[in-house]
Amino acid sequence: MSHVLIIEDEPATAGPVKKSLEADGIQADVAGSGTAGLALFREKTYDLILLDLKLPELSGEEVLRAIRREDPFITVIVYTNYSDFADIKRLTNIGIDGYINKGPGADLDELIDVIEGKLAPIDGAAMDALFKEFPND
Amino acid sequence: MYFDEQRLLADEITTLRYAGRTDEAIALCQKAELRFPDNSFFPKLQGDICRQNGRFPQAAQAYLNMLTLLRPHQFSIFATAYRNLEKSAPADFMRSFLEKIQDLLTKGLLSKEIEKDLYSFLGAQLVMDRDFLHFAEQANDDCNIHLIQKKLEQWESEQDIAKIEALAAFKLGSGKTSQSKKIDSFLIQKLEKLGKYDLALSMIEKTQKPYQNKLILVEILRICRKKTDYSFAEKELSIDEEFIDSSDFNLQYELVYYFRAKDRGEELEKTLRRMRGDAVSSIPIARTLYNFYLSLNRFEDAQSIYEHIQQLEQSHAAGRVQRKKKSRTKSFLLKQLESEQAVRQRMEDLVSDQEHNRRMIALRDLLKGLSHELGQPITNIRYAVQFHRRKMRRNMDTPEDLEVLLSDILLQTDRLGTLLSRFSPVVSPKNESGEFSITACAAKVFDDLETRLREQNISCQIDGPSDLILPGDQVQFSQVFYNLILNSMQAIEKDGHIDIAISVSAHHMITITFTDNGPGIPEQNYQKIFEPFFSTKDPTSGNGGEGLGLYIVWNILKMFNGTIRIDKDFQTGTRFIIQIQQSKGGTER
Repeated sequence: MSHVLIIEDEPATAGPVKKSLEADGIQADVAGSGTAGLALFREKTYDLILLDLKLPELSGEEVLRAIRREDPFITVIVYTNYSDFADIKRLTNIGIDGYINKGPGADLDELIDVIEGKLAPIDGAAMDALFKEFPND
Repeated sequence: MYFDEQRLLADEITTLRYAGRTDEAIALCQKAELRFPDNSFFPKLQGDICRQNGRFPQAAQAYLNMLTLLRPHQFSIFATAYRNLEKSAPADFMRSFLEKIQDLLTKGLLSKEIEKDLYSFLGAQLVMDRDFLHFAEQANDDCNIHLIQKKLEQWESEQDIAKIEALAAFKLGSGKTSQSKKIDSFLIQKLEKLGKYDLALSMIEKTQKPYQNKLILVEILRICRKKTDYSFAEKELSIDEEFIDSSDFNLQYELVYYFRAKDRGEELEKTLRRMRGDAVSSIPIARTLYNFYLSLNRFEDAQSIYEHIQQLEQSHAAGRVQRKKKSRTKSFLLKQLESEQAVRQRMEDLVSDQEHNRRMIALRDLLKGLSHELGQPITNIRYAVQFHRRKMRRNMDTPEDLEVLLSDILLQTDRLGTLLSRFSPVVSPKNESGEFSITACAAKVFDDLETRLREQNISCQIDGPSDLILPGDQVQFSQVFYNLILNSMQAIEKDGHIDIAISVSAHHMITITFTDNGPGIPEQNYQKIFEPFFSTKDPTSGNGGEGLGLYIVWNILKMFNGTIRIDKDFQTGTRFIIQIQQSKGGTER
């Protein structure tokens, strides 16, 4: 079973995401701050981290840096409701695997699709993606 | 078709796996691997199943097999597998696993891309190869400095940054460093150049103590400046009076940045004065100082330094061409006069440009914060609605769910309303042509909050002349006191006191000192507290906590020609110092 870590300080945002993932058979933990998120990341093994950028204590960017120092390869999707090109550029250079907008364009269905698409090849959507990489020889 | 066959196999294995028929699932994986020897997916599946069932050696073998089959961009699959294994398998097992990975590397069985990813993933844990180990040993002795320098340069030019990092990590992990100060300091410089600031600082901490050499002090401050985080410098150095006194130009240069970043006005002034002393005879130092003054918007200081630079240049030029005709000197003076005027004009433009830029940045920050704050409840509403819709589509919704949804939405709209109402004191002053006594204004705010203050057992005191009058809207100005007092009340929680002292200097500078004996503000937040939407409080709590209070204070004071700063030396609580220039038109051009 895939395991996702949601680092998000707003329970009202994290709740629907967690419940939607769980309805699809994906385990999800929520951390309400960057510090709590990093602690969980170190304690358990996740297949994907969904990271909000605006967090109390450590900022999302600092969390991302810390994650990347320890694990350059774990899938991290950043989602935020405001950022300009410079922010995205900086994040891309630290290393992110996906970027999703919240705010006026927030779309839960899209978010869940992207997460499921990125998960390890054991899950349905991602397995299709993997098999697409192995065309009929 | 192969594709369908692979898919069927994968489905079958997954079914067996989750039905707990582990042996059959593994056997089928092995069969699939034989049938499709180029497919990395089946070894990965076998590895996962084995790992989950505690069969670590078999899992490791499957993962290694997978590693040789992965395509260049698929390394993350191995990384996750490795991390998973690491969390369940014992440490000595992982060591033998590492050796096997090492073996694959030495045998050259992996693609270049995967190799590179492995190095950056496992870094110093993989002691690369025997050559690297030998090299790292050599790097412990300064006798080999030329060899090491050459190798580092080569790695740098080949973009083999992982090796440079691995060498640093190796050195950090080993006990021997005393014989290699020169090599270490060369390595530190390389790391700094490559932007590996944390590693460079760790190396400095481990190898360069005690910091006797000025160069290392400059280096620490410079790396911290580039990193925009001075915590290492503050942990390692005591930057005090003595430090400033003993500093040379390079150190002074860094100190200016440091004191500026930390908003330590007095020390900044002291450092600038010292530079000014050195600038008497040196054009480069004078030019640097000139740029600092410009960037600090200290127009008059910049102008006087500029004049000084001109004098210096003139006397240099005079030294070079002592015997020249009078007419030339005359035209030189004329030129100088013209350029002086041009410079003044340019500087004035520059200052107004900077002011404009600052306003734009303040506005941008505000809008950025505002769109974030508005975006948050909007996101919550949208997610709540979309989540309900997902349930509806699956026929999983209940009337209770709908009830929850509606109250969630109402809660979020309340939040939007509160946010908007917080802006009204900034947006709408009511009586701009009035005037008021500052002391009376503060007293009125204390009166208004009296019940709440008493509930929390907070005592208040105001010291100040009652005839100190400011022109403007008292209700608007009272927001300064309101916000500061509300912050203090939240910080103190119970039992404490708040003091306001108001005074005016001979130069018509009004100073309001606002002090509480709460827990104080952590130093790392000093820079941020006046930014809009900076908050340490829970934003969902409703009343306040959006991080607007001090931003509103700052804005209102700006309208009154005032400034506010936090007193960093005050230890037993929080102290803000507000300064307002009382009369207009007193400044000279």
